[in-house]
Amino acid sequence: MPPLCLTLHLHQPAHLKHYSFFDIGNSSTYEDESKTAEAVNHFASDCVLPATRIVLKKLKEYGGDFRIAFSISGCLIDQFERYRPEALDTFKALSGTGHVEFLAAPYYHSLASAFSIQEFREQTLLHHSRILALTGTAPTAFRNTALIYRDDLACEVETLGYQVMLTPDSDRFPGKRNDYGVYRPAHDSTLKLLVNHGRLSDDITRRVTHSDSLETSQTSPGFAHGLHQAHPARGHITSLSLDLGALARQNPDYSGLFLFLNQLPEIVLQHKEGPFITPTQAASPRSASSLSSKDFLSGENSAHDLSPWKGNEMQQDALNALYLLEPRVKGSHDQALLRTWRLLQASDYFLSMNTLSESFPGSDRLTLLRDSPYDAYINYMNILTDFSERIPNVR
Amino acid sequence: MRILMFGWEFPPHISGGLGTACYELTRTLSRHGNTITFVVPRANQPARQSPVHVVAAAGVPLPYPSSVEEFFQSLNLKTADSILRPYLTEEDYPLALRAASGDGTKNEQPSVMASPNHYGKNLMAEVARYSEIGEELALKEEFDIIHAHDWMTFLAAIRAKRATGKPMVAHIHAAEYDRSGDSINTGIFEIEKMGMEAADHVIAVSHYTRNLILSQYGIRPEKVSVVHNAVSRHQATRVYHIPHDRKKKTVLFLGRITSQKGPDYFIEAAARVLEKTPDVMFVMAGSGDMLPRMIERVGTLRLGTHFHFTGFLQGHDVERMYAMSDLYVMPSVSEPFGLSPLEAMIYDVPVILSKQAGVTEIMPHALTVDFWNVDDIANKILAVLKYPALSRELLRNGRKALRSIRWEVAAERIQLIYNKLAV
Repeated sequence: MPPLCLTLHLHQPAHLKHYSFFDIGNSSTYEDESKTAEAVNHFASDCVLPATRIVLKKLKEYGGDFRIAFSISGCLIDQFERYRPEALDTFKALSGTGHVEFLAAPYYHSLASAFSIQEFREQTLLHHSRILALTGTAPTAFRNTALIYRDDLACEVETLGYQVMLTPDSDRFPGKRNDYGVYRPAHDSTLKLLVNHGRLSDDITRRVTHSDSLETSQTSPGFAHGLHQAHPARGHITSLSLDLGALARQNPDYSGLFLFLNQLPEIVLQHKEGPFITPTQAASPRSASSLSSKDFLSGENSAHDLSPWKGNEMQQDALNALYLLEPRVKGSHDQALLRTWRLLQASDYFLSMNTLSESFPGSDRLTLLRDSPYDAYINYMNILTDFSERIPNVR
Repeated sequence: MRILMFGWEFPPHISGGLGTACYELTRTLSRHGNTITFVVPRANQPARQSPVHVVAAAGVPLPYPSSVEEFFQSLNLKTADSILRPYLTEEDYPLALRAASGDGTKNEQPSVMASPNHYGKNLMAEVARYSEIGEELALKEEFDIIHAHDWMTFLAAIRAKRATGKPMVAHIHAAEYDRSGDSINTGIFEIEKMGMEAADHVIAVSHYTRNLILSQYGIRPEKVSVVHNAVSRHQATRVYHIPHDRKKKTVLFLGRITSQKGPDYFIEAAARVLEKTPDVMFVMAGSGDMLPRMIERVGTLRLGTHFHFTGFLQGHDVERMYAMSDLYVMPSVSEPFGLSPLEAMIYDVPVILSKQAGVTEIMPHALTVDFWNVDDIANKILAVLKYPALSRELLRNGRKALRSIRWEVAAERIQLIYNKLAV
């Protein structure tokens, strides 16, 4: 059976405080720190710590037969450092097993790849260093925010030195059928593209959030059967990506997730559905056909392009206003301003301005961050207006 | 089906949303093959071209002299002096009959205080008389269902039901609890309660109102359905090219200037907005018992140059007013439905609504506020004025949502209720 590559994605945005028009010019505090702390504490205690403990146990139990990858946003690492440092110890321990790969990503879970290549580069390098410092290993695989892909980004990622980049499902690429495994960009490149198995990832997310529908018997081949069904072909790689942050928001009961993590290695290995590999292992030299897209693709469910973040005028206005500030922010050489500007880049804020009613993973963030997309936009623009006024004007 | 419908106003003699709603409902219900006899207290002029047979109660001879006193005694009503409290259409309230009561002479120049006067001086007396006529008419007309709009018509409907045994629908467009909060007129409350209890089915214009009916009037939940109001495109056929000073924005309050509508919150929010930007004109359109106080307040705050009081507007003036505005604000303390925000949106005016408004149930593409949160109202007014993408997005989505808010849908739901009752 095809090797299985599982990536757990972890991210929590900073919670913005209610910021009125009347706060502009009067308050430079944009984050509701107590809300952020509360969310991070819940996320750590209820989800991340128990889940990583299970993973750690299974890694020790199965040695190198079980492997897994983690993609943790830089802002979450910062939040853990501040509020729950023990979570970082767990990640160090995971790294110490030698069977866990940590992926590089834009530090602030931003959409910089679509708005400023320079900023994208800087955030990726920042994250790279953070992961290196945390785990002692330099990342070799890259996961963009929401798996956003475009051909020129692949070039950029390759230039930055990564061997493999995670991408959305292959059928989202023009002219491609639903096929999983490892590809390469159309241009001459040594970079490998590891396509996500969106349908199976969603299926697992659904099972995990409704734990009653998850197979409870360890001997049950339900999940393995699902793998078969999803991907009967041999010789390819099934790449699954689970967003723990989204899980956390959809269902505060994680028993399904814990059950899944507990059972997965045994089910997969027992039914010879494995072996488990990590993204960089998946990219080890092998012939691969090419994938190409001149337009942005994403791994979101509702739309395959960037419309979940920039589909309406408010989102476009906010994003444009934000990235227009780049030269002024960077010209100020003020590290605090730079950090604030980057925190404001979290893609979650733009998703919360989405006015479409279709549900997609992460839409629950709407209610998490603000009452309505309009309120989210007003709040964000008030903050951005104040922030903009605080940047010293340089000629 | 043949419907005997009791209403208080019908176009062109309307003072607000109730008349419009009745007109649209009868228009669409007629298309379902219903024959509707619509009873109003009086019809001075023939109503606009309508498939509905409008009967003026004033033209029906009574077999016996009206005995208002007897009525109130039997209903255990307190007094009939509640002339100011009771009326209650959606949008405009005849001001404290100040102008009409006096010595009977009329001002040549309509003042800003002038009010529409479609009602008698003594509303309760008129309600009582109207109810006697209800019974008379019911015995003369052939019909299958009695449908009564708001408390003023409930006594008539009850009598009609008693005389004929036909099923009765009580339609609540506004309840006394909406209008008066805690200081309710118990007489009106009693009539509302009696009407809903006597009715075979109750229609509420929103879940907000339905909840009020269940909690404050104790009506059985299974008897109460929600049928949201709607808005018609044909209500905005005229295109106005208003010379618009783009620099100076216009923010509109349009409605009865009574405590229910929260005009005081509008003024306080305006004062906050003007602290931040001077290029705004605030318009308060409508009349009501709070108008003098509101004018005084604007004076005290020294906001006179940024405020305009139009007095009561109707017809094309209302449309022109919408067309001139950049933003419509409805800070109602309580609003069973609230038709005017939908009308504003038809004129491409974005809206800020009180969370206490039934219309928010069907219009997610509006900014919502707690009416008492003056700072938040001001925050949102400023956001609309300063961030143009907000208006555009609200209107783009609002236009889409408006397409499905149609009177035909309301009529279909009412038809289902009729069908059940007529079995």
